[in-house]
Amino acid sequence: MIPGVVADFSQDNWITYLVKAVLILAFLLTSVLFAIWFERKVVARMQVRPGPNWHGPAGLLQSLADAMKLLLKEDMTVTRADRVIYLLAPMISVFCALLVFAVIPFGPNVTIPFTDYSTPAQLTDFPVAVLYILACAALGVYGIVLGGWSSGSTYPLLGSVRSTAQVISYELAMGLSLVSVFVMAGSMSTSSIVDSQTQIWWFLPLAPAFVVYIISMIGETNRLPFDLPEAEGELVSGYMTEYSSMKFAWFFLAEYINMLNVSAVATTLFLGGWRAPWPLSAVGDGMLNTGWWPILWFLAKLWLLMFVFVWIRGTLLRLRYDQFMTFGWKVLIPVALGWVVVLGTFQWLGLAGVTRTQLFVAIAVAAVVVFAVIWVWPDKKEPAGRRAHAEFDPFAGGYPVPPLPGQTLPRSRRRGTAIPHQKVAQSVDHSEETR
Amino acid sequence: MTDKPYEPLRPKKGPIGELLAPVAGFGVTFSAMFKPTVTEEYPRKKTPPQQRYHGRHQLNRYADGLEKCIGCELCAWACPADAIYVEGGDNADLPDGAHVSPGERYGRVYQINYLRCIFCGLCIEACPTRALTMTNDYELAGPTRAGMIYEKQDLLAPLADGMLAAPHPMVEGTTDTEYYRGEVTAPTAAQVEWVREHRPDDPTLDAAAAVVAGKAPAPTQRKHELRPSQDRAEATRAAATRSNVDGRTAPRDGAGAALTPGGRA
Amino acid sequence: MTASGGETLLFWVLAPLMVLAASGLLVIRRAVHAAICVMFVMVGLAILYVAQEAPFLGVVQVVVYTGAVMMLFLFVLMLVGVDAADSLTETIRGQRWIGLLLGAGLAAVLLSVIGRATFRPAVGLEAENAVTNPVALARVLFEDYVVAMQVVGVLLVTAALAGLVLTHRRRLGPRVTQRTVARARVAALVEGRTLTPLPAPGVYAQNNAMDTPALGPDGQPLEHSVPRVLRIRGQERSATAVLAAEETLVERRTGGRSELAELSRTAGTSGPPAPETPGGEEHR
Repeated sequence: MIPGVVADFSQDNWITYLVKAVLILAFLLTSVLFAIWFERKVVARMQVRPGPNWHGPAGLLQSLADAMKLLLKEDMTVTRADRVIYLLAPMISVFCALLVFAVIPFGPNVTIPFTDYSTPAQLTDFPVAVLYILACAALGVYGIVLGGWSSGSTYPLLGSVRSTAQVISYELAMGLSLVSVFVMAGSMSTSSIVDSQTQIWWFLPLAPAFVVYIISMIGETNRLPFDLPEAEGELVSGYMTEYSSMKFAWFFLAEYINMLNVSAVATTLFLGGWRAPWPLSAVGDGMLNTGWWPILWFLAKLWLLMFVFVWIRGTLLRLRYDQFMTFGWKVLIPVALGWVVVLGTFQWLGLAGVTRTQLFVAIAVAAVVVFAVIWVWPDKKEPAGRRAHAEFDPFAGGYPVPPLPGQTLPRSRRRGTAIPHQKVAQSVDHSEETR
Repeated sequence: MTDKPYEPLRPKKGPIGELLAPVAGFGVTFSAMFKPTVTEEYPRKKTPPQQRYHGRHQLNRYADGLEKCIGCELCAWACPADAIYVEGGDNADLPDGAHVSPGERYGRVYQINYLRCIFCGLCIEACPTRALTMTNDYELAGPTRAGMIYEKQDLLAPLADGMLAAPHPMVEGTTDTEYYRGEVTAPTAAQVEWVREHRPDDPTLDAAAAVVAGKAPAPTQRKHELRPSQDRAEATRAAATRSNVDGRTAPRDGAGAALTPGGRA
Repeated sequence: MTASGGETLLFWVLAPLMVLAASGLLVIRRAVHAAICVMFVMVGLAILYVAQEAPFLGVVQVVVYTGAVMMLFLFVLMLVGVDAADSLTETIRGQRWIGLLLGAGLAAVLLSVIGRATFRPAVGLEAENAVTNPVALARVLFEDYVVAMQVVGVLLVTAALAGLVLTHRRRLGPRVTQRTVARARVAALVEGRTLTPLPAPGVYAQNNAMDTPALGPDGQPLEHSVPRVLRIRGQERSATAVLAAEETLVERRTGGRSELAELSRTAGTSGPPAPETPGGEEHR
């Protein structure tokens, strides 16, 4: 038994580890195939299209066909590429992406059918498992950065530089949002964090942290609306521009595994991991939280988050790069930091002997005060300049202009008066002359 | 313009709507998931276009099987894209009083280049005998340039049951005026006799004889029918054979060809 | 507490590779390759930390050093474009020999220390890690050394603020935003400028280059479709010259008289000026 870890790995031997590792690998690879189909299908439905429907039932084999196509494509190496790193980069990406699921708990202890052998549905766990996930993510960026640099071409380099800046910025917000979970759970091991969510899942009490995590996980995986490293309108394909065939497929694989990774982390840390949702968790005295059932709940939550990924992609547009950076540094990080301070204060009050009821009353009073202040606070005044300009100059700047908001057209002098016949005739004559 | 402040035209939202306005787009995409799709699944399910659709051209026939085209070239002159080429011929040059079309002349060569055609329909308006009309056939694609120039036999309307394949003499005692007025409604015994004498193997003979004997109704022009929908295997096969033939999408053989030219037997 | 078999194996696999990578740092010429060597050494170190029951240290090593610090290094390397090998000429006389001498001295000191060291089993590791490694570490940091931690924290914040202050520049003009740019463009309409981008240079049958003006809808060349710099340098080619060159080419193809030399002459930079725009005099 490892200290500080709830899951009990004492019965496991190397065969168990090997079997679990192979199972996780198979799960990830098939999930990626499914995820690509899922994404295309859902986005298509959101755009009122049927999506892939040609290969296999409901187009399920489409991603398999695409993978086959990629395998058989010619493997190009750019002349100006740095060959070793060019080959190494996609490997780093995939390798680091595959590592994360080692510490994700799929469920509690499960008994292998027809035997007494019982083992946690998790490859391994240790006291700093969540930090290990962050470390893997940090290493995974090297794949993107080196891939972009080694291509020896401009767009990939720009893509990888963007990616570095992006990941460094959003990892800060991500880490800070995870800190509140560590504080509440009192542990950084994944199985202990799931265990700490028996009463309530952390996404409710830690809602701000959850929101920050959801946003930064999209930034971390380079997905729309934060897919600036591969913004095709600006950078062709970003860091993957010069890659083809299997090397490209590896980047692709890594991207989708990373989506699964961050979704699994969000599930484990905020959404109760493998725990059954509320009405079900009460069924049969918690029967649905034991045995093989939890794996079902875990997968359901995982794919719910994957759906959120696709939903966001189908709804939002790509940000401009400076807006994106401003958002990360001036909104996300301060919010995450402020939330950690607030949470720390509550914890300290709890330690100092303030009961939970007192705390809730205090929060309610504070909220009422804040709302009252907002209510009473005078509305923002119209900028003075706009009213002053209400006098409308129809030739402002020397050419005819329509009125701006707040300006009104002056009353026409000809309004209501008929144009005299003679005047019309004159103007016709005039035009004849000029022609 | 009055002094009233600006009022947007669309209705204002309630307080909850205002609150959710920044994320309203998510609702749009989510609800779109449950709408029926607008995609037409083309090779699998061939949707008929509107009746007015300007598709491939067709050279029509009179009820006895003679062609309506008189080779006047008005369509070619009307064409803004210069896609039509016509050469006329004299019916008098044909042996034994045979006619391809009623009257003096017929269209000996008739080509439409579908790489140039813009489907504007001016040729249809120009045609004095209503020989040239447009069908609803939109399946016009091919791998070769030459294949996209449709010849007369590709454009001719198929012979309906009971029509007698041209050339053969006009109905006795008529001029092109009677044809034009629609007074010729079926082949006559004399025409069947003539064809039996000159082309005894003609496949349209029996049906025409049946019409003459009153055992079958008078022929009517066949409407354009969509080619059958294809599943994946069929589509692949069709594509493979098609590219081997001559680059026209219209199937050249057999059952599927509702509009395959009949004058080519 | 002695090392287990697995740990020994891990050490003897990792250590030589790390030494190789570390010495690679000395010999490798390309900066990015060297950075990758450093990265490998760091990850190897992290693995060894974890193997020695210090998982927090190991993971933090990767997150902080490999994930952030080395990434920044790489970032700078890529941006500066240190692509070619560094110059090997010595800037200080005798630098190499002094370096070798000092290196040898350090090696001697290290070897003598290591040679005299005795390796006893680790003591107290289990007791320390009983409340898990990160908790024990936190207790040491935030109880025994809390003042030092605070001081370091204040120092780092001060340094960050100092960096901000030193690199801060006061804005001299008003901030240029998309809105101001758009306003300026609209205002410039009075001066005869266009709102839209300038027209692209012309594309002709035989010529598609920046230096040839496009033809407007009236058939006259648009001067401003050629980049300003080319116009100032006088490297603009007139449309008539290009068209004339094309004509001569056609003539030559059809057995005409003109030669290649003539062709290049007519297409040259100093072609005849474009004909005057038909004035308004003809029209009343």
